[in-house]
Amino acid sequence: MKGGLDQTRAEELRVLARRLGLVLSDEDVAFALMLEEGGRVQLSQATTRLGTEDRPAGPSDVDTR
Amino acid sequence: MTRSDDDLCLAPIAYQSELIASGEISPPELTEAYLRRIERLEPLLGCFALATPDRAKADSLQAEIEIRKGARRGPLHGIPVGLKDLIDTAGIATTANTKVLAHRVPSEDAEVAKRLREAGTVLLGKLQMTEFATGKSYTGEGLAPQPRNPWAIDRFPGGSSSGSAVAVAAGLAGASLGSDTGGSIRAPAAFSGVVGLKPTYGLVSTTGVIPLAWSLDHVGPLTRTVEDCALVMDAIASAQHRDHTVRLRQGIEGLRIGVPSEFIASVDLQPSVRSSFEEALQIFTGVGAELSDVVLPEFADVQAAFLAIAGAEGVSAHRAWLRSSRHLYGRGAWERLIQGLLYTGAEYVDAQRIRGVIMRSVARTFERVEVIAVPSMPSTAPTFEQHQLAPPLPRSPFLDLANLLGAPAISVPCGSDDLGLPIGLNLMGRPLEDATVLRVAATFERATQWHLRHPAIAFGSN
Repeated sequence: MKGGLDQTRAEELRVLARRLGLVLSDEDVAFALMLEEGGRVQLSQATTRLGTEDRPAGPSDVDTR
Repeated sequence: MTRSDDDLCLAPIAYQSELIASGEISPPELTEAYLRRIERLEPLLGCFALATPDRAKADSLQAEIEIRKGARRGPLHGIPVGLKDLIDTAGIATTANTKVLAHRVPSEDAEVAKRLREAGTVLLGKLQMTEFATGKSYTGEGLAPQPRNPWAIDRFPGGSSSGSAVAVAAGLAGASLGSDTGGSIRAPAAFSGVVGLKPTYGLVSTTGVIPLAWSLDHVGPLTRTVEDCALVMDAIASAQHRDHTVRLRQGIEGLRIGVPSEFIASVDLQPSVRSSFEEALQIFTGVGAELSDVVLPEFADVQAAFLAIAGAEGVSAHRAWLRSSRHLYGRGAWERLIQGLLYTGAEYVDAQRIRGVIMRSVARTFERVEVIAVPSMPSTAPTFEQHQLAPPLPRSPFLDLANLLGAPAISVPCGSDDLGLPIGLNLMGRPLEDATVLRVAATFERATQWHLRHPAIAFGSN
């Protein structure tokens, strides 16, 4: 199973999980990375395509534009 | 005239309410009819996580006493309902079909449970669901099995509000509540042939409802008719927005319905779904609505933002349980949550910014049309075997958008396939215009007969 994995990304994922107090098995990591194409990679593409003119929501609902 | 349990329990709650108001039937009689059906059909369908017959009998007796005294609370007084098993009920187990919460008994009602109780409804029980309202459910994990679709018991009824849809479709409850984070009310409504509304975000309280993703979670009704859906909304919605039944019969002449033709054409639709959708559009034209071609945001962008937000919020909501009880999670829920670990904080913010871009884009579309119509699901209900083999994060391309926007969206029955399995039509409106969505759906319903079909398994009482 480890042969096809991006080991750097796998380790990053383990670190992220540890920060949340979770320990991931090799199987968990392999499954999560399989989902990257449909999730994180797509998010990166969407961010590029749609631009970043928007700011995230602030603490009130007032639209100052 | 003698009414069978079938006739009574499959009737709209609006009709049941008239019978109660006129004294033709009492709440205890109606409740007993439902309890007999639950006893007969529940072993076949498995839609209750926990039936509460004693509570139902007590509620119905209290309703009868109040109504006899002339203190009828409203149209839902004495109407038997069920609640998805992630909606807290004081003193009654609420376990979200997970071993993590196997012994959980809340001390307080969720706000929606409280409001239905105040409206005088009768609680029949808690309804089954996929674990923690995640969409996928595998067999053989020690979790309660998924309810069977009453139209074909070897088929999945849709999730995550599976029991809520099955109970209403089979006449085991007058109405039910479900939750919808990415289609979890509308998908089972479509697969099971009932009406399901995801209201505007914030219009119906989620307080006391076990969360999956806070900014996407909604609670809403599943019913046999649109009018019933409006009646339930008037009981559970914010007090300033209880006008859902007022304009149901006004018609929709001149109302503009957007159809994202290019997007729909790009989806691999089952032929019967496509033809039913096209027939639905013709019906809208026939009742005076104007169809207008619209362009929706790219599905890939919608899905990217949805998965990041749902994933990150899901991990946040579940973090304490994951730390203490990871070993108790079933595979379906864990697969749904683990993808949330992939995102950094910056990426979550990126996803929210994309959400903002998408919201403004659709808001511009909603300047030209009042409602947008799409099929609810690309196909009819899969077999359980097909559901098991589907990808780990199966998504309808048509449902997530309304959750990202916080917009109201309803699924109404609009056809059936060669096997007689139901097909749903999804109508999405502007935020806080839930009443318009209901009016469009009610007009469609009056022009069709689909809501009058019931699964064969639902018949057979004396």
